Amino acid sequence: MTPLQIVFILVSLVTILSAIFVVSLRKIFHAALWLIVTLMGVAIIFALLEASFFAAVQILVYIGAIAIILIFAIMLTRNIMSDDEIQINRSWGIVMLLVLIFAVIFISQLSSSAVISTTLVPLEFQGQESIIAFGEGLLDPAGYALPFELASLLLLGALVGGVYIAMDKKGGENK
Amino acid sequence: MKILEFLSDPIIGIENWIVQLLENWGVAPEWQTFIVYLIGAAILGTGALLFTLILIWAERKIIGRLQDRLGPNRVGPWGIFQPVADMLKIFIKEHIIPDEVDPIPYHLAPIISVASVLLLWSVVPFSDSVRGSNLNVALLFILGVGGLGELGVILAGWGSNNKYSMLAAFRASAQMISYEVPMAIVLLTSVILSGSMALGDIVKSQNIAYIFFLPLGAFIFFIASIAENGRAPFDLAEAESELVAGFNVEYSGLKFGMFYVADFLRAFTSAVIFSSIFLGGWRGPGAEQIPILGFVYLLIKSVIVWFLGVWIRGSLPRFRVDQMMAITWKFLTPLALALFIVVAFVTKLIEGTNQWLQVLIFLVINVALYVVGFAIVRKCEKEKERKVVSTKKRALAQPTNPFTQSETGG
Repeated sequence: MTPLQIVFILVSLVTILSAIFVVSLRKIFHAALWLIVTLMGVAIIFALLEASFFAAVQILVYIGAIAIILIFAIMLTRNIMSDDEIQINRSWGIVMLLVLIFAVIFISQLSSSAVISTTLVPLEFQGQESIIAFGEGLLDPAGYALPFELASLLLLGALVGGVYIAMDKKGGENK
Repeated sequence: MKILEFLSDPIIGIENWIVQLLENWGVAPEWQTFIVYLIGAAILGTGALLFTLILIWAERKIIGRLQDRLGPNRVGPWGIFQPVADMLKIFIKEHIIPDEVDPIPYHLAPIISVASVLLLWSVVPFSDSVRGSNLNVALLFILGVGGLGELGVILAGWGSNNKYSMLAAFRASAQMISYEVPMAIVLLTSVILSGSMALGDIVKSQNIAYIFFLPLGAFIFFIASIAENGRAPFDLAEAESELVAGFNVEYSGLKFGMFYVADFLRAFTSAVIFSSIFLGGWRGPGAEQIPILGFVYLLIKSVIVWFLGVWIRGSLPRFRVDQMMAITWKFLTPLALALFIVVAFVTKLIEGTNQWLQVLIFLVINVALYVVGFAIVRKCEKEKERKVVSTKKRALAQPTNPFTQSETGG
């Protein structure tokens, strides 16, 4: 076994375990912290796949921004010092059964398809080239320019909406 | 000649020797790299932490002089061994865990704080050949790891079960999220200039240091990095007069020591990153032939930048919360955005012209942007209505008081 494989197994175990903690722990703040561990694990798996851009963006966006804002929201909105709720409701048994059936079908179908059996080929890009290729692919009209621009439009819409909600209405204290 | 060759680049020499040794022992090639990187990381981390001892001494001495005191002067010549004594004291101190702390966040926070600083060292190029990793997204990595530091503060504030540390955590995270914005935009401008996100390539592309291209960018980055580190005048998270001691109130002994070390080391680390991005890092006369010189140049540049930070820390009073927010959202961020757009256009326009001409054009643009930005801020400040803060007018004992000038007294 190579060191990479050992790291991969450890990281994926931690990721799966912490993902289970996220949906099962009683304190919502602890769940948020375990979510960060999960996201970190995903980032490390990206790094192992030599997708360093995605690894860095995963840390920057998901941990640096989204998880922190999530924690912020939890700290600000609820009285969580005494919060002790169960995250599951009565129908958890049947859901587990459905998930299990789905997983069996999914895995059995995937394992027989050709996608899963292809071996990964290391990228032939050196250093910056992979990021440059990635950027060109995003902005190339023949590539993914349209989805990219649409996504930025969506974000702009969200931004304007957020500003509108936060804005003082007419007749408020200011103005 | 052999010894000179070795001395000019000792670290690569030692690395080659270890690789040779492992090969003779019959270790598989991928394990060889693994072991060599592991040793390198251990040495780098330990070295950085030990270097903090000197930093703490120097900073206390400098701050002492700035405040007209002597600073540490009892243990050893010029008090050099003061941090060693402090370290020993912290090691043997009782470790008090307050009641009802949230154990995992409470114990994890100092570790995350220190780790987030040490992680930054993995992407810094120390010379032409020696660096942890020429990660091709180093700048994103730096920003992301900054987010981890934030997490340490939030965990400490939350886990301590203390309202003061909680308030400090709120302040700190608001501050760090806000100041990450101008910092990221300025880093993007340096990516435009160098065409690379790897710190090693950015250093290599600086035939002329980027501070001459982007003095305004360097200025914004410097302020933002002080705020990110939470040092005076941005040390709102540790405001003694308002919050007892900030997010680390409930920590004692070694855990407090870890926050302390992280704080001092982070200041120097951001100086190292500043000098890598804007001052040309290890570059200097003869650094390519004799790689060990690169260390010296990087150290000198970083110490100068670090000293500037300490100087500011010793001279300026703390900002208020609203002032701190206004500085980033109303001044630094718009300015950084304007700089980013202008640099993106101008770089394409003057591509391929003489390098000194480029420097001149960029300098003019930077100064013009700064002047315009500052003028707008001044104008807005003048137009803003100010409430007069005063007590009611009352009868004075001596109406013709020569010291009373305004109508409201005082």
